[in-house]
Amino acid sequence: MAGIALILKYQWRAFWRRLIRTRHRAQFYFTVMIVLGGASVFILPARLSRAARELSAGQTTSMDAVLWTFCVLWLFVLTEDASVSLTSGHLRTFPIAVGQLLTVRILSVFCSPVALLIALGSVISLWPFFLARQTVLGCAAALLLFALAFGSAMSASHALGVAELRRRLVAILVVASVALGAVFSTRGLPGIEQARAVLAVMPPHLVSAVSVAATPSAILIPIGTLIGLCAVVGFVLFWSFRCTLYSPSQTRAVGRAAGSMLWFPGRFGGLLRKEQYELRKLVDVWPGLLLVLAVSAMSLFNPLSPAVRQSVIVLVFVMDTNMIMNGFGLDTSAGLTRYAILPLRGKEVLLVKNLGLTLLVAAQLAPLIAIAVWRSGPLEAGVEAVVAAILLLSHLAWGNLVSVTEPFKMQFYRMASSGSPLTSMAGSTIGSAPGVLVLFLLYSESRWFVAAPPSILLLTLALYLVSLNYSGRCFELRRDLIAERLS
Amino acid sequence: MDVVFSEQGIDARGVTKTFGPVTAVRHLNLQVAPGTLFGFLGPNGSGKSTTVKMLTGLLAPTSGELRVAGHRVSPENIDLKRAIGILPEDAALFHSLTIWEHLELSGPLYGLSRQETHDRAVQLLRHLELESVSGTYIDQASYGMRKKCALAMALLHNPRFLFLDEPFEGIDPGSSRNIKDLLIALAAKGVTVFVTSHILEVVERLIERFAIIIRGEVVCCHTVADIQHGGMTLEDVYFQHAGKPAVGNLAWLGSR
Repeated sequence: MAGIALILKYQWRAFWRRLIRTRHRAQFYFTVMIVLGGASVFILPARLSRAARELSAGQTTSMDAVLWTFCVLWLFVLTEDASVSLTSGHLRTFPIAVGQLLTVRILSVFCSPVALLIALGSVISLWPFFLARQTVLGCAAALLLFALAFGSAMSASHALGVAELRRRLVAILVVASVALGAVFSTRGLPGIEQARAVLAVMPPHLVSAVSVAATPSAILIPIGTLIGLCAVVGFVLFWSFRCTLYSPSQTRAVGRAAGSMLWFPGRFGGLLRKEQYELRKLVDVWPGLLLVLAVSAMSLFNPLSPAVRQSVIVLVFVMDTNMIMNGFGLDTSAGLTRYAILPLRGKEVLLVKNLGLTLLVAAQLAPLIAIAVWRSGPLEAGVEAVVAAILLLSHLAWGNLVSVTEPFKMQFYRMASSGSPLTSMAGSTIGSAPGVLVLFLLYSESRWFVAAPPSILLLTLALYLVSLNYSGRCFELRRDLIAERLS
Repeated sequence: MDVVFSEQGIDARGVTKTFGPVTAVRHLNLQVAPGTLFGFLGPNGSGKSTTVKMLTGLLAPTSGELRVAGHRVSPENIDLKRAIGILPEDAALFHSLTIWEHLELSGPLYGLSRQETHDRAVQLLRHLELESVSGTYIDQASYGMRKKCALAMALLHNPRFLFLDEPFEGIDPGSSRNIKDLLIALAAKGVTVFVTSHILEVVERLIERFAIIIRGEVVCCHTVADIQHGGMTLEDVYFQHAGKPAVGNLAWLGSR
């Protein structure tokens, strides 16, 4: 225990020292705290009051929503870079048992003020259970749920760090997305009712159900399920952690071999291959792709309206925003020096990065466009392709500017970060605006609807070219500053 | 027939490590007696660091058995980790901690008291010429300073076995000399030192025995005295096995 306490002391010291030493990190945490703190002050009390009223009347809808929110927040915290200094990989050279290393790993999460705020919010969210029929059991079940969310998120984070586990995780998620899409489309029930049926057996609802339960069986079954799930997740957590410590990460030879099959022509071909190879390693690529696969699977059985597909296209870009707005986030200081050594202009470096992103987005949206051609014909698919092109250009135009002015270190196999939630929100709003405008004009049947897509496409293309030139120049002038922020 | 393992030294029997389709180390058989200064040499990517990682329990072998100081090497053998000192290839240091804090953190994890840690750290930093920069954050330290810090951490708990992966890389001549003298003194006291290096001139004056690994296979294992007796240098033996690249292939360089 003394060893764990000592490591945590230095972990805490290193974390806060790094935060103080790097202004942009401090800004990041400050803005996250403002957003989360603001939400806690202005939204949470009202939600909790409502949930408490409902629980006292035996209803669970609002409490379910609160619990879901915290589960998602825990997931988000752990898939982000925890910025810890004393990593498990380095600590394993010391005589410390795996169990102790895992304890250090778990407790190190709470160095982050964001994690502390979410932990505090999670505890506060137990308040409505005091008005429920089963206060103690409700609170206990909620704590089990948080442990479950935390353990699942950490296990997923471990799985992302080991090539073999990562492949399995991705395969499971792909199959699950397609299966979910197929299930939702084949049954006759409306979507909302189906979603309700699925949510009723999910852990957050089990917690609410325990708190309003009137019979022993209504308590025992959900509690037993939660305990069972926690035991399974606990085992998976330990096992996956052990895998990250001792499984070789060098199955890269296989990945490299697969990657080397991709070949791009021209002067920038090699650099482009490097870019798309690195971008594929960001977790952000997957939510968009899984959403597209699920919707495509739905469309296979039941034709969906073009509006659904177009909304999905907008959503995919929103999910990709952080990745697009932090073009240098995966580069190292040495990598930036290499860009300076190579006979390349700043705008050429950015252009290659943009092409890498374009290839990735094209791969994400390809199933949807193919389905559009099949279900709605080439004209409708063409409109969707134009909307996608507009969204891509507008996101890249804004993203290039942010990439050179607000770079932020990112890690492979983690979520991309654009530094601050405000930057991220501004990016997705500005980037989505032209595409949403086109859709609005199309559906409002305004007299501009025929001219709108090509003219807005030309306008965003012009904006993109201006941004590319300007950002390229900025990159040349600010390379040292960018390198410093990425170190 | 059961394989008899050396109880005190380093013993590797039929060790293989594969990474997907790539075999990094193939059927490694190696015995190092206690108190030996052993050099493990080879070109880049030949499997030196992988071997060190396996010998120190940082990486599990695909097959074969390893023993160090009588301990069966496994990634979770804590007693083994207490008995050895490791200077890993990447130094494995922690950003935002100073050089001094690295030692302050390290000592108690090996069971040293605070006072013991303090006294030993002061002496080690002085010997490695890090005393004046002990307050430097590791991410602001030079490559050589980081190597020396990691070496000090490996020595702090006075291990009987030292595994040093490229200890002379990026080190200035003065410190290099100090480290060399220190390792010779340690070996004289019975400490087993396992060193990998590319700097053959330095290693030749340091080690007693060596093995050369090429493409994952140990191709020779001799004592330095043996090769010197045969009128050869370590460099001669090295190139005999590793081969010398022909400069003629690059005739286009420098020509117009």
